[in-house]
Amino acid sequence: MIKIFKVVLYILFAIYLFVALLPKENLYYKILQEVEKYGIEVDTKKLQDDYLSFTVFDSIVYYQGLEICEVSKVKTSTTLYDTKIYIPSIIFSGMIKEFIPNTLRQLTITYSIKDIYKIKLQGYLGKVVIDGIVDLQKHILQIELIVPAKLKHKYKTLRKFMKPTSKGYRYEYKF
Amino acid sequence: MNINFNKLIKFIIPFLYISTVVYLIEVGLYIYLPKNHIVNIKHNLTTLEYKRFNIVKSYIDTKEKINKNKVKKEYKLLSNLILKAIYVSSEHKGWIIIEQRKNHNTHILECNEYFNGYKLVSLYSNYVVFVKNHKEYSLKLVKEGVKNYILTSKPKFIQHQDSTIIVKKDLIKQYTKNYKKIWKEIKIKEIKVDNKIDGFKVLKIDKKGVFYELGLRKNDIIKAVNNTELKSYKDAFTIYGKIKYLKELNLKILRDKQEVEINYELQ
Repeated sequence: MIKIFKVVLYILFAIYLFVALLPKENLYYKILQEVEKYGIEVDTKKLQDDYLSFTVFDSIVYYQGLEICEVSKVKTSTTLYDTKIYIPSIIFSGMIKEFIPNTLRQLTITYSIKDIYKIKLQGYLGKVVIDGIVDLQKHILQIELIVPAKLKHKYKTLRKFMKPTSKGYRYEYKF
Repeated sequence: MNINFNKLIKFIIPFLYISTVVYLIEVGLYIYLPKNHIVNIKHNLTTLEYKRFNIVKSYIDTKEKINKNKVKKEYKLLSNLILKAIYVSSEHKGWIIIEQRKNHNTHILECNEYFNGYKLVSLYSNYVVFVKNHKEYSLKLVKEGVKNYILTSKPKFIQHQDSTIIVKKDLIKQYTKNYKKIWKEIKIKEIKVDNKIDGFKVLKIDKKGVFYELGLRKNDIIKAVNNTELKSYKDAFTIYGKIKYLKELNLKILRDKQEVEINYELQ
């Protein structure tokens, strides 16, 4: 029993030490390099590297040179139980804001050891609630938009890209 | 105080081992990962600046310019013309019928068109206004036997002239302000070659809609606008944003594996 306890303790220590010493800034640059291959560029003004969290401030996202959105803050934090990415607001710019509501609020991306094959997404797009799942086992991204009944007519254009459901609209992508 | 150092060291040593291993992994990661990232956003603003050069037109223009330079006898509009009819549409636009007193030749003149240097600027129920050298000239309708008409039909926004399609800017304004209207009439999807955009395909088009009248057909692949190839969404959005400022537009289309060009004059 003591041996098992010791092994668990060593694993926990290794994980925490690994996360604390991880060169997060460099890892972030690597991610930027990778997404650049898909035409996505991120212009970031400030990075903050804490022991168990990493925060990116004031970023502008470009897709193929076209300004897509402004992100004021992206905070990535990890605990033993889960890893969370929290984005307080994404303000869409350029032509994009003509197609969808201006601001995406309180976007939370959660990866938990409780369900290792699923990444959960939650947020608000205007008065629309976003509820999404990335299923790593089935390779499916599913985003559900829960639209208030009064506003359903306002988002009619979404039908072009999403499947209408009883609650609102659904988007599915297989990767 | 009795501390068993042997036990303590035995307890600490595995942690030291773990720390060393983790540290070495992190050093390896640090060496492998990039140290900085340079953002290189290409603000390609050269798109759509290209204008189609029409040799014949430029020759005619030059000829007109030369003719203008010649000293001409001043044409007196008010004394030489009879306003026979006025067709007024909304916003004081429409067309008129005028007759020359000298030879009784009649002409039909649309708003913003010139007649002997006089520009027809606005139309009213019983008179019209011409402008020349910043001076306004009003021409009254002859009362006997003529009538003025209020247009009930929609003003024509698209005119086909030889190989060029003339499009009124009012129509463009209507569509650029209301993107929903565009989607109602046309459905476009990007075409990808080697995971890169290589034009936009017309999947659906309303045969009664404006885009059909503008010459686009189902399964057309729009390859370039004003000689700028459509290689990204940015290119497409740039056109959408700039179209109201353009005077000429040229579309390069792939239709049934053959390249077709459509020229527009935006007035």
